[in-house]
Amino acid sequence: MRKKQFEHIVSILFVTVTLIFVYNLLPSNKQLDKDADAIVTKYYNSNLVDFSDSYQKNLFQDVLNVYYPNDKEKNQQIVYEIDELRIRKFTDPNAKTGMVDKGLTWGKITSILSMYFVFLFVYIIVMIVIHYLAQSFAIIRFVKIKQGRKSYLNETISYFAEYAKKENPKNKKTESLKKAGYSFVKGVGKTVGYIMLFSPAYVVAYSFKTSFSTDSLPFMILLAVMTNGLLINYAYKFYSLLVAESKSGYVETAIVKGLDNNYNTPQFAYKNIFKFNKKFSNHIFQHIYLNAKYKNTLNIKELSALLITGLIIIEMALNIQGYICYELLQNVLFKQYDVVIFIVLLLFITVKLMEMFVDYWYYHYSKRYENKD
Amino acid sequence: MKTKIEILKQIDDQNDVKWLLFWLIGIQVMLVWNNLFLNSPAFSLLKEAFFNSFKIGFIVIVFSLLLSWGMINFSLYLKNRNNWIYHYLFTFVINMIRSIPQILGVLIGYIVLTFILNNEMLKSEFMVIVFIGFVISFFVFLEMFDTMENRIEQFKKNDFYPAMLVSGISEYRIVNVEIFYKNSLGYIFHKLISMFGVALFLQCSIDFIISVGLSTDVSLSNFPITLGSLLAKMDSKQDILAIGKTLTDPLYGINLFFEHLQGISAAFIIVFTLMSIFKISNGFVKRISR
Repeated sequence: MRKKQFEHIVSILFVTVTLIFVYNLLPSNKQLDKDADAIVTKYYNSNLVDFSDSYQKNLFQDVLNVYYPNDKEKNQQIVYEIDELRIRKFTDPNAKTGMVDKGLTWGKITSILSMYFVFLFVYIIVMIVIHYLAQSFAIIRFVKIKQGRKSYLNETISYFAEYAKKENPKNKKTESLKKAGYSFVKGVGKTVGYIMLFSPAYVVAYSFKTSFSTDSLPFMILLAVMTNGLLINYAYKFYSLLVAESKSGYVETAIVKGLDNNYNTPQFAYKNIFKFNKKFSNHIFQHIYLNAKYKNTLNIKELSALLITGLIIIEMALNIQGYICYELLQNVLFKQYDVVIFIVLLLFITVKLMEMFVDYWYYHYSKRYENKD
Repeated sequence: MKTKIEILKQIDDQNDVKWLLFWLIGIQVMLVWNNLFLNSPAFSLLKEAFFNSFKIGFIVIVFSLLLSWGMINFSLYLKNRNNWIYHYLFTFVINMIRSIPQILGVLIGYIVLTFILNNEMLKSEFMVIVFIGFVISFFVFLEMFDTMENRIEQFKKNDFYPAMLVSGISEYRIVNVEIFYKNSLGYIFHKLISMFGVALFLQCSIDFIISVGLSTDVSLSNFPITLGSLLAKMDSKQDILAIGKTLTDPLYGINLFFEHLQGISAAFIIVFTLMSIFKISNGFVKRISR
């Protein structure tokens, strides 16, 4: 346990030191100005020539050629560089107004930290919601399979086969056709739900953009939970653990010894499955669930990194101003790499802290489950 | 009739085959529809984006397989040398890569790619695609690495592994031939399928982000068109926005399939492929664990 926590801390320190080193290697804006060609800057700032006027510009080059007849190529280069400098004054993002705080100033750090705390808030909320919903959905799927429910397509085909049987009376045929239609519609509904769950956040957000504001915090939380395939993947992982656990020897022994194994009881109603503190008393599923939950703890680590990826995609792709990942993208655009490094470091630390927390949690969970307490 | 229904039921039981068929049919129908109703420049662009995205996806899985296989063997080499410092350093670096959010890693890779393109160090479009594939695979290969490591750990728990070791068989042969080749191809293939989905998702997302947020900095003409960058085009975004309009005006929905095909098709390919890959991969793992 201590070894793992030590490794996490060393990792954070290593990345911090590396990024500080990279930060110090970056040339500052002032340094860039110093490096600009002094001669070009001198002529450009002289105010004697209007370089936007091609007549004056050509005249200037002629004067240079008169004074320095042996450096005609150099003179031409100076005029060319003055032109370049003029263009840069209009196109260089660093020269744009609006970027008041250039580089990593104290004000910038404070502003980024406040954005970071909002990010952390969203991250924690989404993490809890996904964790809870994924377990609930996985249990529903597991229970439905135990109840012997078929897929909607299979149901549709079966009802359709009933309808196609020539020996069946007309009213039974009509009933089968209705049921086939009903199953088909439910299948289509499920597929639409799946489409939503697998859609990248930006597709869903742009789809709803004309109907209501998509820049709010609740919408961002909803997007992070429902899109990018996070919920469905995590739910499937938990479902796999439930299935694996249900095949364990102790489950079979418990069933043979008479523990309840019937899944068609009211305790598997949706309202019980969706309870935050799920309990399935005196049923074998209680043990399957608790053991799967224990094994699922380490999956949270994977979820934490994936969730950060999801949130970054949402904030960057939707260009939501005032959020940390939008700020990151803007600073990449304006080549403010010191700010970029600072934000990347914060995101890395978030993942590492979450990993440390999960390792600690798992360690204590293990002690209880492996009777070491 | 009965035979047909039996065949359909058989296909329904095999989720991987069923979804592969769904995907193939869905994409074919979409392409035929686009051929009929989408203007030809946009259709060519869509086809190019589709093929480029899939090319990158395949390159990612090839690189990931090579990287993870190489790393597993390197880790084995370090363990065999009994030099714990090197092995500890190796694990440390691997865990550090694992903690970098994939999208951030890929974004940094794209910044490097922009620098390379601006300095004309890479000129061929295919090489750009290979570079993108490599960058993505560098941040996703650990999924395959973990699968391979888990397989080794599982076999180490059996008598199989030590029995072979005491018989004088080289550990490299046990791992590469006996475990990976003879007993894990199904698991590796399953992981490759799901990694293809991850690669497609990351690539589309980063291309979308770059096209939306960094378009003044990154010269998009140097980047191959992919489904993500196609979706970020103004007309595609208008097409996606039109979906929202159907919520308030349901009759407008009919226009989606005639007037807004470019964006809708790009989004459809991404979402439908991601969903199908999930289903195929889960169906496949069910098949190999039977």
